[in-house]
Amino acid sequence: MEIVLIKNLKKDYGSRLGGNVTQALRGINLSVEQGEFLGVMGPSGSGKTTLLNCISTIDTPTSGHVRIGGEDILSLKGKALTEFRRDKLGFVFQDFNLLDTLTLEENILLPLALARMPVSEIEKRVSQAAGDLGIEDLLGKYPYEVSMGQKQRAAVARAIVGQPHLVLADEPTGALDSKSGRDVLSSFARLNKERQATVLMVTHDPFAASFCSRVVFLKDGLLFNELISGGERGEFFDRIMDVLAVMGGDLR
Amino acid sequence: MNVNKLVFKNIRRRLGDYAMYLASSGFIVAVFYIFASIYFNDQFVFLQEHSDKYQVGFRVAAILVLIYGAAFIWYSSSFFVRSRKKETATYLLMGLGKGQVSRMLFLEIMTIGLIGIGLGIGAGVLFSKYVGMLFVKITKQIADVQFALVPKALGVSVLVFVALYLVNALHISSLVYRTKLIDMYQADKKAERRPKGSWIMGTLGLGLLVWGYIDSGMIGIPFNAQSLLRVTVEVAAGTFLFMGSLLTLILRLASKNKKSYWGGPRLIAISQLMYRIRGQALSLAAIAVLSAMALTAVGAVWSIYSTSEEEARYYEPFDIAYVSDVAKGGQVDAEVDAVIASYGETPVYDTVLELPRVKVSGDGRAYAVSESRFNEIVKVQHSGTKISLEPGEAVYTDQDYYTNSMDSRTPHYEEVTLSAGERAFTLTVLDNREDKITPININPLFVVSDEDYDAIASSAGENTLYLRGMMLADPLGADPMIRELDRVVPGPEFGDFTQPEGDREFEAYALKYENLFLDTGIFLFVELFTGLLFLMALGSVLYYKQLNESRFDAPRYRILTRVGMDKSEIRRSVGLQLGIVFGIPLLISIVHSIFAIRILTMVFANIWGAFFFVVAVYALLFGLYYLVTWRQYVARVTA
Repeated sequence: MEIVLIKNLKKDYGSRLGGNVTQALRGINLSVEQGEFLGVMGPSGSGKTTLLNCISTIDTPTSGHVRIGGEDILSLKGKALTEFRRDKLGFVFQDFNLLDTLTLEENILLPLALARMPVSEIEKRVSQAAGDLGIEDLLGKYPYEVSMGQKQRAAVARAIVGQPHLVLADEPTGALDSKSGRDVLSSFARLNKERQATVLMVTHDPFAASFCSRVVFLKDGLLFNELISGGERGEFFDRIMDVLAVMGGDLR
Repeated sequence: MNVNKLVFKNIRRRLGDYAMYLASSGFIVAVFYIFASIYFNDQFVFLQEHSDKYQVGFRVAAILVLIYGAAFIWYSSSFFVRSRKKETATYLLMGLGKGQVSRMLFLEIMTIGLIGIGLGIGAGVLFSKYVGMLFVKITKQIADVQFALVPKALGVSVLVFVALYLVNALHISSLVYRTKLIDMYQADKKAERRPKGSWIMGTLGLGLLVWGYIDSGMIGIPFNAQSLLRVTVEVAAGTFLFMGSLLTLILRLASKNKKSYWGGPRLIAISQLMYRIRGQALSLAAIAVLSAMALTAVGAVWSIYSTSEEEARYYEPFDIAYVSDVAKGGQVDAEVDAVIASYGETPVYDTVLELPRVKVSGDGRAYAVSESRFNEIVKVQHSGTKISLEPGEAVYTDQDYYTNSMDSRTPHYEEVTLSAGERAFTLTVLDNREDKITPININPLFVVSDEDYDAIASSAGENTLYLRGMMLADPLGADPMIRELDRVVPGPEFGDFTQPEGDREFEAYALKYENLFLDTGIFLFVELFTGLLFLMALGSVLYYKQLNESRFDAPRYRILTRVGMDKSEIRRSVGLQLGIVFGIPLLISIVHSIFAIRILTMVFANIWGAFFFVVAVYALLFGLYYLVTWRQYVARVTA
């Protein structure tokens, strides 16, 4: 079943009254299946972030369609949009975006609290998410008391605690050292396998991308290539490197 | 783009931020101008008659306004500078010289200052007539207040506030020279731990607070300064301890109640408050204590003011009273009659009260009055109760019990020996009372039976005070006549009633009434405006403090938006957070001042109505600050 269906997505930047118009996305067609761990790669200016923003409803495309879980998200407005974002999407950011005023537990349950979920359900879900990420013992701590990797794992827990249709991750390992980065990526892979979580991760790091089940490459606002993992990470990493070599240029 | 243009653009861009500032500083300038315009305005003739009284009052008021103004300008400007550290640093990095940046800041502050002064003077001129009318009404004077531009007041106000802004702008612009670039770019704040709060300190604080309240209930009349001070210290210290610890604990408890705490925006509001309570508790406590003091001061002055009428009656039980010369030909009496007739006035009661001077063994001079005359006057004055005596009995009446009770020397007689002329009368005193029928100087007064009175009077002979007392149908309406009588009745050199009966020979209720209301009215008028300014200054401190914090909160709310909090939830969360910040000092100060006012009402008039009016204005003011802060805070964190 398709979780995300993107059809002919275009996004222009520039003034409405003329002047220079930049085409950030020039017609993207993409579908993400339930339970997929999709990587999006591409050099700077290729449209990765614009694509992510359009999917995450933060930005509105110029034309095209985006359906998530069967719902046309471009037709959502106001409160419905906020609720959709809160209940159907989970976000993981490069800089964690944890609130320093809250404990990890409070950070994780934040989306549920905002959705006014009953306390018993919140507790059940938080302990499950924390267990999945291996941070049960850190729940009472504040973000400044834990390591970067632990912070990001808490952020991942927050992203999945609402059991969203889709987890969107924007360079989740960008601020981490390689050990912590690997921890976070394995968590993603495990969640993907064990909980059938659908993850869309934007990254410039081929090592991070090699954890994915499929990787698409963007160049100048168009899909350039696509690779599907055979299950062997080392081999997948090599193939990703080959594609990148062909694309050339700066990856970010 | 030159520096001047940059200044202009900056101000235009920040007009929203400056709105509150302009309103507050404009209000301060307006109040100052209005005070000055009453001070320098010759429309208020009655002030010139009592120049000594009002000059002191208005000078003190002007100085207070200036102090608040200076503090406000200083505080708010430093807020602007702090919030623009990075901007300033960027200008420096871009290659603007320190001199240029400093000149830019100077120009911006001066421009804003001048706009504020202009607005304030404009509002002051516009409203000075109405405030003048209010002033006349409060002091119960008669004056026809016309709209007038008072050049002297204008000049002084502009001069003083331009000078204030000049000093402030120079200080701010000199900061550029004294701060290192790196300091301007550095983060303003490190992560704070959520404070634990101490049960011991918190309970101690609450205990002190409650004990202070109980202690205030035990204060009786007469007051002594020591116990008032003790209660103030107890309550103030209690407030600080309570805010410092117990508040944190209460918030922690609130966070333990998962059902309510995990209910959306509350989670954010409470965690934000806890995060920041350590830095805020002290200033919240200070604001609570200071506003309680301001409320109490306004309440105290209002209660003294409200007592003025009762007090005027206390001093002047008769509408008109003077020492009659009936025993010496009655020339003065005749002149008085002529004046009264010329005004077409007929007193509803007119008598000459014969009061033999007697000596009280050990206590000196006293006066005697007969039972029947006393009862007659009590009836006319609608005061006190009738007395019924047998020969050999007397009632002691204290005609100046305020002074006596304040000096704690209220006499109490069981038996008294009154000597008049050659004879002495030993009488049983049935009662010691505070029934007043004469001005305070004729004191004490012994009411004796008619039989005893005749004997005392004949024995006293010439040593008798003849007090002419009159009651009028409309004592306050007969003002011009009373003023003329005041001129006709001769001064202390007349007759033999110089010293003991006091230095004022003509006593009139209307004159006392006007005098007291003028005194206390000036006081009240000044206190109302300076109190309002003071509370306003406290409100602005909260306002600027919160807006300053909003800079650190903006990233948090950005995260929250991403996590799925919409704008209305942010608004609610901020509303709750700021509601607690503004509500707690408001609530605590109102409770504090209720206890303080309760003490005051024991002595002065019942002023709960007036007090709750003042509280309502205060709550309205804080409510306004709260709403504006809320709006701007949300705008800043969601921008």
